[in-house]
Amino acid sequence: MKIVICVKQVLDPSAVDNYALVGKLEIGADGKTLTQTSIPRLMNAYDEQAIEAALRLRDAGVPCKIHVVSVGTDATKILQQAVAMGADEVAAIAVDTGTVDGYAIASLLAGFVKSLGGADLVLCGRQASDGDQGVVPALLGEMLGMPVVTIARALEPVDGATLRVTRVTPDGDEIVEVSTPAVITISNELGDPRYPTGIQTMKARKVKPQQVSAASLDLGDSGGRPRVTMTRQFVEAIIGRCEFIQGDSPMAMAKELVSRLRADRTIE
Amino acid sequence: MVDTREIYWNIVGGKLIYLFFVIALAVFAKGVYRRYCLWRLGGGAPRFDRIAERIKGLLIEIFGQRRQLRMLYPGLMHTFIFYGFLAEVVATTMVAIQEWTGIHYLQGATYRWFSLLSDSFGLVGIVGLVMAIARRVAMRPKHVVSLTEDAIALSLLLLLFVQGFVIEGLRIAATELHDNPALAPWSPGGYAIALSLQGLSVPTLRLVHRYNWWVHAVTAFVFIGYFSYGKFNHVIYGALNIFCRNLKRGFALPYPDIEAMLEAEEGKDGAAEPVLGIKEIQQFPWKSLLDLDACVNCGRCESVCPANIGGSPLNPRLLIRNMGAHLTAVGPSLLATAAGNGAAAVEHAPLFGEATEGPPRPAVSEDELWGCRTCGACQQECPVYIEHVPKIVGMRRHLVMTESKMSDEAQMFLKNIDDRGHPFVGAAHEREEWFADLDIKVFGRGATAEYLFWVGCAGALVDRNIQVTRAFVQVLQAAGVDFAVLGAEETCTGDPARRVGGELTFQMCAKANIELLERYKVRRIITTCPHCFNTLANEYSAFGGQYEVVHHSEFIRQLIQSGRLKLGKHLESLTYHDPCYLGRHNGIYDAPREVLAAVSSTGIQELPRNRSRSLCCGAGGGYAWMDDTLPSRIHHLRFDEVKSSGARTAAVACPFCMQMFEDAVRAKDPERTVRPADIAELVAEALAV
Repeated sequence: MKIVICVKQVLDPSAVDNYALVGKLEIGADGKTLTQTSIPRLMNAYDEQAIEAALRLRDAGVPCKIHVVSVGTDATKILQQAVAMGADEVAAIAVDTGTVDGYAIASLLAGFVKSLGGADLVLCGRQASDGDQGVVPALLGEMLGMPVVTIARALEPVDGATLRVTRVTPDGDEIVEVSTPAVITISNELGDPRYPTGIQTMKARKVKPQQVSAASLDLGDSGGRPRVTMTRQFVEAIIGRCEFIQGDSPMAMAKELVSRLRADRTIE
Repeated sequence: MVDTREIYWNIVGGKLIYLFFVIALAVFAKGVYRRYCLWRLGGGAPRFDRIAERIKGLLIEIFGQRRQLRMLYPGLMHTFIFYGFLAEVVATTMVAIQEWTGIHYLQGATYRWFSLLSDSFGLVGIVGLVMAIARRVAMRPKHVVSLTEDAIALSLLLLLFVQGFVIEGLRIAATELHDNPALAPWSPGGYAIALSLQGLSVPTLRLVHRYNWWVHAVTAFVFIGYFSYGKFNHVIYGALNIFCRNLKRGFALPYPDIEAMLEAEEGKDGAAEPVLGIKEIQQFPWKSLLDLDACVNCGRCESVCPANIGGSPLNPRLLIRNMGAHLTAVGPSLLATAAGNGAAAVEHAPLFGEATEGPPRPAVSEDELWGCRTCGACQQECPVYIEHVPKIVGMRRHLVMTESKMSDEAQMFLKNIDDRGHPFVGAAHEREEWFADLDIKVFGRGATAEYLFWVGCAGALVDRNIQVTRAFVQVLQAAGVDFAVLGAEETCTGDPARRVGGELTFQMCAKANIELLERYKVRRIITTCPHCFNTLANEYSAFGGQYEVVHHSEFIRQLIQSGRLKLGKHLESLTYHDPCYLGRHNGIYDAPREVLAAVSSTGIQELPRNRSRSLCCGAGGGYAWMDDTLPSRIHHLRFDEVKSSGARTAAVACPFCMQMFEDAVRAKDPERTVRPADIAELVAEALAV
């Protein structure tokens, strides 16, 4: 099974959140770019889980060739991480990520999949932790003419051409079957991605990702031109309204809390 | 009549004992050789450097019983048995020398004193043995487990001592009591027995004496032959282990050059991948295997292990014993394989694995390995200098680096160090934020300074520890110290990664940091973190990083001694908790105490477990980032000790002890009757007084 996994480098989301909470997130003069240099750059966590999903298929005995691809000019570190986890081939599409939107990225990724002669399975994280749009997988499915199954937490091979997918829904699991080739997006309910062994990490550090130029890819009729442009990004002022309930004993405090919640009709 | 005694008096064929002696020695030597072959399965460098220092330490342990006497009752007990036994060996040898040389020097006053001393020491030995039996039969401390070999050892020794006195008493009753009554009391033990045997006729006494002499001789040879098999072998293996003890300064774990290992394998087609960490017993260095034989099951390690006290399955005594049993079980097949006889290899239990695995059950369970806080209390207490912690970390390395098997929390903080350069998830601070409003030099911005202040991840990123960092800067500035920091360029030293088994992560940190320190030509480093201190001072040298590293407790002491700080004595009720990585691992006990003495009018109320006996706060070995799920949480146990000392200020000198104490205060002292404070904070407060 030829699997292509699309991964993205993002700013450490926990650090971004924490900086935002304390009102110290720096946004550059253009009003839209985060300029904090001290925030680490990491692989989007859902994408790590997409790699893990592919590795679990391999562990389950499905012969897999795993390609991992990222759009960006400095993706070496996260692609080496993908190799350490178990990817066979890694490629970077050298495009400045500041200039592209979801549509352009999907065009580049679709072009890359076509350049490999197609794939049996395309896996993506359900969304990226920076933009949180989650549109690339759907566009990718459209461009590649593949069905899209979203927010999966488990994949299971049924036969050579069908996968059983467990989807996470707010009300519980939903199990669907999809014929390959398909695009599937993976959610965090899949579980923690594996920690690479020392040997794999050391070997991966020597791997140089294949550099793919946008010009070499078939970007379709639109040429992969971006259509959505960010104009401004900012953090709303965060107002904390936190009150510590006072009382002589834990019991008194609990009673006070319950009566407040009742008054607010939070509980009946 | 000259005061002496006739050798072989009343004995027929006495010289036969030499034949028996040779046989016993051969049996003994076979026992040692058998184990020696097993030790040689391990690799590693010899430990025969610094001979004079090794011998000196060995003599102190043997004749001074230094580590034995760290615990009073068992220490005295062992000292009595040791000196009783030693004296009888010396006395017997002196008699033998007289026989070989034909020089009758044991006569007159020499003989009287010889008799008195050998008898007295014999009695001391019996007292020690009675204490040992009482301890095993009546007192039964939890960590003292009695096995058959303990019963054999104590009975054999007691038998030898008692037989000696009985034979002496029979001889005295038959001879000296009549012939030389003034001499008899010089052998008080034998004399007492002789008096009780007075009623018996001389021929009866002679007959009983003759048989008893032979029984005693045979007992002695059984003893010698058994010496290398049972409990007594600690006399040889223990002494050898003390001689080969680790003389390295501080706490430096073994350094496998992972990159070199991989490069050596590269290009070799089909070569097996190098194994990272220890999976099988023969991967240990030979000294670690000797450790296993040196153990006498005394349980001192168990009695001081914080994990064990807290209820962890880790028991350092059983860890070593079970590994020893594993070596005995798999050794012969490993030796056969090493000798090219592969067919002799048999299936055996793994060295370690999950507790539920098997049968055959692994010798060590993974839960035991994960219990360790690397505090070193077990090693500090071990009378024969067994090194438990490097073994545990060696096996953890395999779990982490080869099997990727660890707790989610361990994986999380390792990944954080890999990705973020510090073990904390998405810290809300960056490394330069704590000094945004202070005038501090930064190396990367063209500054030069006499000292680098290594702030550490906790000191730069955790709110409570930032307060300490700022207090220490206040002290440095008050004393006019020329220092700079690395700011955003500083990353984790790798200490927590190394202790948890993530050696690769540690080595990447070490190499990157050494490169950074080289860039700024840093030679002198001050740090407030004992873990950073230990790693920078003792572990980076293996990678070529040589620095003069000072912990802030020592640095502040120097500042006080040289009169650069003017302090007021503002504290009254104060205790001090020794951090493991400062105290036990680096021997720094006095500096923090002297600093505290300078700011306190009443001095320190010592905790019951202090200095080298300090109980770990529970945060070592990566546990600052992992949950303590033990039935009794270690930091709560330690905080209870602090609280019951009655002190209102608990001085610490480590950011992780601080975090643990603050956590314990939240849980166990909501009124905050005890205030955990770093020595730097207490000194900074004293500046204003």
